Amino acid sequence: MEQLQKTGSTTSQTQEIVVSGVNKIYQGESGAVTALEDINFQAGHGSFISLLGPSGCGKTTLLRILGGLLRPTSGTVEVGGRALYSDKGANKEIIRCIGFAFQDPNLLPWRTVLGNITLPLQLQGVPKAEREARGRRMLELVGLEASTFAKSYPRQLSGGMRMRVAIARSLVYDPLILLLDEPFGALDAMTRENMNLELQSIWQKSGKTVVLVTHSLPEAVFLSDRVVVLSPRPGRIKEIVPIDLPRPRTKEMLEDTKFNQLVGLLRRKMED
Amino acid sequence: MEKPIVYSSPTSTPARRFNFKRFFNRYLPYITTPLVLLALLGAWQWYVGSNSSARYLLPPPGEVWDRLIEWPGNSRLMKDTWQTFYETLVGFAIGSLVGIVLGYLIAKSRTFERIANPFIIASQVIPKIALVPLFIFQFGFNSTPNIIIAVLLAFFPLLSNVVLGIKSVEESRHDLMNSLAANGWQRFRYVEFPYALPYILTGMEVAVVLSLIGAVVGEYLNPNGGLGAVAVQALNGFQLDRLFATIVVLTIIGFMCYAVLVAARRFLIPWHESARITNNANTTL
Repeated sequence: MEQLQKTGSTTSQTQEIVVSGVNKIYQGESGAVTALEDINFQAGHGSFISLLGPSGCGKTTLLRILGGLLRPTSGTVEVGGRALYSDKGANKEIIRCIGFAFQDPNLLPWRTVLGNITLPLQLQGVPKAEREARGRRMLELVGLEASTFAKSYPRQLSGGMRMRVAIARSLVYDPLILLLDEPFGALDAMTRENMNLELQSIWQKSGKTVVLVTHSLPEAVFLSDRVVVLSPRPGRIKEIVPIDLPRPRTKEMLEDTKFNQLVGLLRRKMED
Repeated sequence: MEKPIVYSSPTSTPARRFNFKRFFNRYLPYITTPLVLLALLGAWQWYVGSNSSARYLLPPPGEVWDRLIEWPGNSRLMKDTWQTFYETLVGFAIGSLVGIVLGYLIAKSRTFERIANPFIIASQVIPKIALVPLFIFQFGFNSTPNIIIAVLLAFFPLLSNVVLGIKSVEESRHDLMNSLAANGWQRFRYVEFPYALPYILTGMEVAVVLSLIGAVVGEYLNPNGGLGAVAVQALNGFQLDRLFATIVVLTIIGFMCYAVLVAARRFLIPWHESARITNNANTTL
């Protein structure tokens, strides 16, 4: 617990992400493939950024670089003024401030729902009673009744529920930065809208810096402060589009002219 | 064309529904195993009874049964039984540990794999029975040579299963642990070990049987005691009924060890497909 508070206090300023000159080149058998080329952007303290682009544009690669999972070939990623990657690899202290939700839920089939959600706390050495209490709160937060689902196994849940559990797991240790890799891709339209609303309220309450990978234009407009539009092969930043819609955003806004103009703008940016 | 609706179909009334197929699948071994055994015993009895010279080569089942009945009351035989059981368990435990540790190291380090592989392969291709006299010479007439043979036989299936299990852990699981800044021990404890556990248990099912074989093979050449030695003594004394009884006792030990591991599968990995009861021949003993 003491250690948690310590990392918490040293990282109070580490919510800003600065990406400068990032390149990623994969060395394949058929030669080198440039996945990302000269990526520069920043995600300010408490902001909500979306990475938008067609498949194969390197969105996921970029997010993995931000999460400390993949070292860029060149360029730097700074979190709160400290380099994420050094010669020794990714800085674990910074990684502990980052919550990562993967494209597929990536739950461990041998752990119950509660066991999956509380895994990050277990790794940090949080006592059992406390981590279970926090896990149950998270389960309720993502809209699953703890009394019904805590002891279930992942295979007994629907795809959408599994994704909620995965999001709860990435939130449970209250990371200052949240990286989401198309978390709602597998959900139906209605559930997706509701999850977007929930995500917005979680973000507004917690003041986390969020980077979301998506290929849904309305989702990007609905949630973001700024949308980073990427083009494919090689992945380059085409444009960074600010979304100046008022907060909190509501379902009614989905039919606004302003909202739809922004969606249209993003579509044109992606197409040309 | 419309289908006629049959109201009196027996399968449409839930109260009378009897799923024969399910019943058949579930209880089949409980019916067939005793029947097949009885048939075999009957054939055995008939063969011995019909052929007077067969008695010298094959004792009738009744005599074997008499020896088996005497078994628990004979403290000498019980001591030998216990010794074999003990050697099997110790050989299995050490062999499992060695197999898991070596398997993990091989799966994680290509360098270690290349250094260790020639010796591991050598340990398997060498006829282990040829090593028994050497071990007796080194360690004396006691349980140690038998345990070593058991270990040598038992560790290999575990090793190869652990290598397969650890290497099969998907990249996404490693990503998850990396995203949580897990250290090497946590990665093993929370992902690699549970992931490999079904593979480990499968290896153990083979290993425990091989461990028993190893212990008995050691005992054949080691007059110190154990059921292998009892079998050799019975053979030398031409006590075929006792020899057969020894084989039956060994079979019972093997079955017990195997059954414990099958039960452990259901208990330790209830989440895994292989632990489901239906449609799995492995779990219906």
